[in-house]
Amino acid sequence: MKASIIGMGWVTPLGRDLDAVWQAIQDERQPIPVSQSSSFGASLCPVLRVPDEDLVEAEALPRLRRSSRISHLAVTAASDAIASAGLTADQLARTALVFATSDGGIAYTRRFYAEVVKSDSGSPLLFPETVYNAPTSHIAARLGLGGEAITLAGDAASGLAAVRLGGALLTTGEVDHCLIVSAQEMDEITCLAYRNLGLIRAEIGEESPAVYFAEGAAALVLARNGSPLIESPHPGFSYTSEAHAARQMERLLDSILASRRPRVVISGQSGISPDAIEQASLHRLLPDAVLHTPKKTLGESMANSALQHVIAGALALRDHKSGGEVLVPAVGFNGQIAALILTGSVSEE
Amino acid sequence: MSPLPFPKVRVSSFGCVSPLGVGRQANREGLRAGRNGISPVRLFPVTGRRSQTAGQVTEELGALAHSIAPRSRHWSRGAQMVLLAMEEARQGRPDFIPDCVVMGTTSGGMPLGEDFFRTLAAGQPSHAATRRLLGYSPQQPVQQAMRVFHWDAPVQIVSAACASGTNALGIACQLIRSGAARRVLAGGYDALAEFVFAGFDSLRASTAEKCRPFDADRTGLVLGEGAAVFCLEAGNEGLAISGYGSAVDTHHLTQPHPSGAGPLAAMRQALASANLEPEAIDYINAHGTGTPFNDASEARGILQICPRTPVSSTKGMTGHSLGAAGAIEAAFCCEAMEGQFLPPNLNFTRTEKEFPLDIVANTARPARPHRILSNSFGFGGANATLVLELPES
Repeated sequence: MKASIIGMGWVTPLGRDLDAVWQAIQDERQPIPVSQSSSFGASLCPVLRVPDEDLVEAEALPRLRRSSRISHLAVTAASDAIASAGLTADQLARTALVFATSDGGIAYTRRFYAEVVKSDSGSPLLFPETVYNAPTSHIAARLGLGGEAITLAGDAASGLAAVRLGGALLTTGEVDHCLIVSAQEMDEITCLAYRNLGLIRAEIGEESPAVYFAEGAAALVLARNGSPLIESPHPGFSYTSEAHAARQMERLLDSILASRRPRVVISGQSGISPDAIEQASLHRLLPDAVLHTPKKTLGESMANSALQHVIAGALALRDHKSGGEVLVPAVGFNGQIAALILTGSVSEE
Repeated sequence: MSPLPFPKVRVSSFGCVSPLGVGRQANREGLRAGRNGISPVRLFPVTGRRSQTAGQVTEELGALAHSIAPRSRHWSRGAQMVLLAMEEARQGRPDFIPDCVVMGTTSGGMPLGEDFFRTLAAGQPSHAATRRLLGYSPQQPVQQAMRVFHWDAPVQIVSAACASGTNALGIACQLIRSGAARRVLAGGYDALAEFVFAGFDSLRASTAEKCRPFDADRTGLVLGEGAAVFCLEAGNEGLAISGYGSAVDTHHLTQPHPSGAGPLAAMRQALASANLEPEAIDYINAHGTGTPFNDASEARGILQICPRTPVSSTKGMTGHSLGAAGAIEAAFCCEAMEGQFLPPNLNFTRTEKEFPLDIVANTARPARPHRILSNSFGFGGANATLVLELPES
């Protein structure tokens, strides 16, 4: 699979300016968390939030008024990406949409079920927003899309699977462009779940290799031709245990790196399992590569992190004016491994 | 760039678990007999809900799954259903090793999320519930079943509400067409969950009566559950998926555009990709949930493109299994072509004057269908259609 990136949108706790966020990542700027409240009487989680004022599209569409925050995040990133690509209405008519998410509209999901448990009935305004594809529908409505609109749900690797699927849709020729979007919203129940699983930092100032849980969104507009080019030479693997994950990551990287030698890696590693698996493989296979670790600055946002890393890879490639290759791997916490290569040189298919 | 011609994607094998039974034979017999798979809900309390019934997979589910993999006794019901469907598909094509897995679901591991919430809300220690919560991920039931067969292909979960199963099969075909995959295991699953049951109750979309798709007196849907899994690969022999269409209708998050524009767009795309004229279609397996809005929109769409083609919805027999529905109904279409009959639309008593469809009412109709449209639509304006074919030779 090959596709090129012609537009990007990035909604992060540090803002939406691509260059400013990329510079912060390179500087490894320390994020400033806020405390996530809990109605369960549990201790608070520190999280990284996107400033409300950055969600400029929230009032742009009446149906967004009642929607969950994940839809606001996703619509903002998608709109930025389409604007940067400069697509016309005619071009949007031949644009597919693939949305990747790990938890969907989890805040409305928790609220709806809380009402059911408490009073045996939930609000009909909340329930429709709980489906994984609610943000997909809102993005399509905001941008006037009417063709294929797919939602992939899963761990971090689903962010890269969305890119691969977008490339497949371009290859079949049914669409001319594909908009790939990811988003992660924040809720107390996901904070508690991920904290209990040891995937995020539990306390502010804690001596931990884990990073803060973060909300955000990312979007790419893919086309058949242009630069930078994304290549997905391998679909990835499932894994069953940490030891198996390490073997699968080595198999995947051995396959991808057989004919490539990327000088830059946008790494998901934050020191915890499963990111440590990726770290070990990279140390062996690409010991001299320059590693950027966006999660240290942008936090952990699961599937959205993976798509954010593709944006970081594109920006890294831009900075390396001589071209070269960038590796973007993703080890999901729930059994999936994937990786992509970004290259500055456009090759014929 | 013009679209690539849609080469047929061969259905090498499939497995099916539904309220009509476990396995292809039970489902084919149930379809042909017009069996009612709806019964009082036994899985969670439904006191005070509009609907008291659902299409439920047999109580033998756990024992059947255990007979394949003893470790499955600790799994969710969704994972057990996937295991049974996957095992049947594997038996039909023993040397099939997928290089990608694409499954549709709407609620994934929702019962485990419910368990986690209730544990937190009760102030109980949450460590055990947290460990179980790993199964909340919609990939987990699929991965659990794959491990039994030592498959390590990546798993993509498509969640387009009630169109998920059809979208999953369509995406699997696109991956094969594009060269991104050679052999794809694809389908859908969903197990009944209290959360979802309460959700459709809150929308007043579920009915206290029987599910009567396309009937003039229809009052709503009955939920269901199940799983279907297909072994798909490039090829022109035998059963095949020959067309796929997908379109998003942004009229409303839960209501289709009354004109039927969404279903019509999906059906048109599917026919175009199969390079077929509407007259070539022998039967339409409708989404047909039994809700006033869905059936009206779908009927308008069908009347604009295939006004004389026989139509039925099988949801009167099975209930609406959400993310599994598209895959289960694709399996039903394959059974109809191989078994030479059209599945019945149960509980149909009166045609709505505005929608003069040729409904296959209440009893199966002998026929030799070779080209079938299978529709699935869902929240978010998701519309998806497959063309399934069995060559006349």
